[in-house]
Amino acid sequence: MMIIVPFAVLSLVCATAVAALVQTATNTANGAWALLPVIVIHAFATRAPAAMPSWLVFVAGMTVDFATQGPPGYWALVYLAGLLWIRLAIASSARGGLRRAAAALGTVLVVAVVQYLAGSLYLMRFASLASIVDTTVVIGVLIMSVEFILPNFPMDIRPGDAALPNLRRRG
Amino acid sequence: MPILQDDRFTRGTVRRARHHVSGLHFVLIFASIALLVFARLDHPWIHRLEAKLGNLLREPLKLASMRLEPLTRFRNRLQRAYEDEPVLDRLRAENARLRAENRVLRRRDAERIELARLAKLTPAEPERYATAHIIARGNGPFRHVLTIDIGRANGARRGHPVVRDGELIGHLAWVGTHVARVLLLEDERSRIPVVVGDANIPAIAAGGYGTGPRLLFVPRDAAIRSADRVSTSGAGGVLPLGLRLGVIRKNGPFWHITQVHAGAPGPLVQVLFHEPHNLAVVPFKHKPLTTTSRLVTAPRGRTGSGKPGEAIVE
Repeated sequence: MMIIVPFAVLSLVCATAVAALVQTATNTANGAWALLPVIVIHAFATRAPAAMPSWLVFVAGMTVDFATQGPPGYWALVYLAGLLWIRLAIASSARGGLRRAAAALGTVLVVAVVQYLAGSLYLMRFASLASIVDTTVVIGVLIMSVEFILPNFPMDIRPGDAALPNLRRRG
Repeated sequence: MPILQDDRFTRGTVRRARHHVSGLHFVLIFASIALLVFARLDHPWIHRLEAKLGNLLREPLKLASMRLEPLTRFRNRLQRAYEDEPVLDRLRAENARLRAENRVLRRRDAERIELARLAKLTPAEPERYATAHIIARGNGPFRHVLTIDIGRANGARRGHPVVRDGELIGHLAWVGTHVARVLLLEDERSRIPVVVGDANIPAIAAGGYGTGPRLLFVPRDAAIRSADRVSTSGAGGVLPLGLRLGVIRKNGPFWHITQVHAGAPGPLVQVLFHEPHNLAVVPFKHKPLTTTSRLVTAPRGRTGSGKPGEAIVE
């Protein structure tokens, strides 16, 4: 647990920096690169929830907002909504490949829906679905890949938890 | 063998500690929504914040854009390879024709200069411009803007057109001391009066969400076709007449404008210091009261004298 916190923070900082720099320095018209932090948020929030605090996710979103010169609060809202879903779905994502896949799919869908709603709020009319669908497909494939490549052992075990002796016995 | 999951002395499934959603999370979500609404309302706080951050991040963003320039060039090469072949063929043919016309025009231009010299005419003052380096591209799903490294200190003003290779890509929407923000034609908020084709059909070039610039208010049965050129009409006097925007292409119910330099690839753009010359004839007057700052519509028939910057004061 002590090791995973700085690793999670560093991963999110790196993902945010890459998303902000590539999105601002290239001609990527849709928000595919800006969704890169969502993968990191999902990967760590499902495995070590304490390592992914809300304020850090908010700061990451605001950084991407200002770097991409988009409306402030948009990416912060998208990331926080994704994290909210993960927190609510975390109990079911603990066991079984199918449930993990469902939780990951849920994250992708929640992020897409919030993008659409926030976009419609900002534009004051219904936003176009085309670019959101494009980015959702890309990010969905990446999240699923990461979800099944990374091991699904819990990293938020604390002293006093029932599972601790079992893990010690396993070595 | 049955496994007792709650028994700490077995190898049962590991249970996670439940993490409830904190109140801070909902506060931050509310703050994000509030910021989004303020941004939509163009609140001065948001502008002030963006201005401070823009000046603060000027050098790091400039450095990053220079380092990532090869990546941008590679992406542009890929994009060009997949562009529509028939339109490209037509543009190539048009390009050859224009090159031939250009040679004739150069000859005539030389004759005109010679005649002006003989007649001792005073030459018109050429349009001033400044070359700026793109330090950031705001190419998110909602805004299409560029941040460039010139500002008020260099003579840039709000409304100045920004071109690349003679093609209009946008205008200055916000100008700071050393940085400025270019609102690109693709942006949702961009509206430019244009004329289309050889018949100079008037229309409005409007940006759109994920659609790129397209033509609005095209007259019915207008004689326009694919690959017709679009240029500024100069209506309103804010932008100069005849700046090229690109060529049109039919896509669904709309005519879309295909720009040669869509999204302004490459690190440099030019800002034309074109002063709006017809704004004073717009019938409005500024009421300099301490209690209100709203604009009051002037009675019909009252206009300014046409001098730049003049407004009617009650």
